[in-house]
Amino acid sequence: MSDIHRLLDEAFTGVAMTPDLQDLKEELRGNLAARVDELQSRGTDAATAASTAVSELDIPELIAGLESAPTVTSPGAAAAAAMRLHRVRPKPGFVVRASIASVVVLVCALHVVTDSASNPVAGQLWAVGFGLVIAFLVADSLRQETAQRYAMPTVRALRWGIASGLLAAGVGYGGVAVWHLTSTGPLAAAVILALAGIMGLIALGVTQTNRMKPWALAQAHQYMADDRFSRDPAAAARFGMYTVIIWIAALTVFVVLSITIGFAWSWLALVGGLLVFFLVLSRMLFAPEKGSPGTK
Amino acid sequence: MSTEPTPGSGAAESSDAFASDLLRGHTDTIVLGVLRGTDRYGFEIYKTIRDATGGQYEIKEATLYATFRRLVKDGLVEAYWGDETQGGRRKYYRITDAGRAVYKQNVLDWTATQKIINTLLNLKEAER
Repeated sequence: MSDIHRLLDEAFTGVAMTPDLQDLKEELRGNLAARVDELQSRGTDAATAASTAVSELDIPELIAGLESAPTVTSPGAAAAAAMRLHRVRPKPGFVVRASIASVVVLVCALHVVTDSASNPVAGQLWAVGFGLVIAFLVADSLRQETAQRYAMPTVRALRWGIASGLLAAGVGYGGVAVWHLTSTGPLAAAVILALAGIMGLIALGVTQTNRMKPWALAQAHQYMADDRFSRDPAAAARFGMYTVIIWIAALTVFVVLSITIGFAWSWLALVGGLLVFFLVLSRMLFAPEKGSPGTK
Repeated sequence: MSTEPTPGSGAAESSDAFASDLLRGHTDTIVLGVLRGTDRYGFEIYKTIRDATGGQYEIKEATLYATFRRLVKDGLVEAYWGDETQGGRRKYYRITDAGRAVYKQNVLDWTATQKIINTLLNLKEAER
C-alpha cells in the first residue's frame, strides 16, 4: 500500500502544486487505494497491483486537464444558469396534500365554532382534529426539499408540526371557549394547550441549527482552529483557573473596601479585577508563542 | 427486430470507435445516473460503470475526472471528503436536486432522440 504513495509522489514531481492539484492528488490517492484492494483481492501481489493501478491512470493527462484554463462565461450568464439550476420546483403531491389539508382545517374550524355551544364534546373533538391537521400541514411543509437536498429530518419536522398544532388548537379552542363561556374548564385546557405549544416552539427554535447538515459537518471536519485555546486545552484550563483566582481576589477586596472605606471607592476593586482579567486573556490567547505544544 | 440496424453495425474496430464516441457524449448523464441512488467516490463510480457493461465499456478515467469537475462546477453534483482513517481519504460525490432534474431531462431527450434515429434508420423504399 505504501507503493502507491511513492508512485503518486513520483507522478507529481516537478508539478507546481496548486490547491486544485493537491485536491486531485488526494482524490487519486483514495481511488488508487481502492483499485489496489480490488487487484489484490484477485490475487495480484502488492507491488504489481500498485504499479498497475498507477499506470492505468494517465496522471499527466489528468494534471494537464486540470491546468487547462476553464471557459469563462459572463457573470450574468453564470447567475442566470445558477438560478435555473437551483430553482425549487413545486411538487404536485405536496400541493395536493396541502390543498386537501387546508380544506379539512377549514371544516374542523367551522365545526369547532358551530358545535361548541350545543355539544361541547363534539366541539372538543373537532378542536383536536383541527390541531392534528395543522400539525400535519406544518410538518409536511417543513419536510419539503430546499434547493439542495438538505430537507429537515422527519422527526424534527414532526415536532415542529406537533408544537404548531398544540398552539393552533389551544388558541382556536380558547377563542370559542371565551365566546360561549359556560365554565372555566375548557378555557383552562385551551390555555394549557397553547402554552405547551409555545414552549415546544421556543425549544425547537432555540435548538434549530445547521450543524447536522452534511456541508456543516464537512466544514467542521476541515476546520483548524487558529487560536491558542483550541490548540492547547491545557492553556485554556489554566486561564479558567486564573479567572477564578482574579475574581475571588477582586470580590474579596471589594467587600473589604466596602466595609472599611465605603462604596465611594470600593468599586475600583472590580474595575481592577476586570483590567487584570483582560490583560491575562490577551496575554494568554493572542501572545506570540515560543515552541507551543500545538505546533509540530 | 433483427432487421433493425443499430448504430455501428459495421466492422468491429470502427463500431468500437463509433460506440465510444456516442457514449462519451453521455458521460455526464451516466455519472448522474450512477449517483442517483447513493453517494459514491471516484473509483466506485468507475467500477460501477465498468461492471454494469460487463467490462465492454470503460470510460477513460481522465474523462471521468473532467466530468466530476464539470458537474461540481455546474452545481449538479457536490463533493465532500469521507472520513476513512487508513489508506487514502475518499472524495465522495453527491447528486443535487439540480442534478436530478438535469438527469431526468437528459433521459427524456435521449429517449426521444433514440426513437427518431430508430425511425430514420428504418425508412424503407416504399415509405419515401
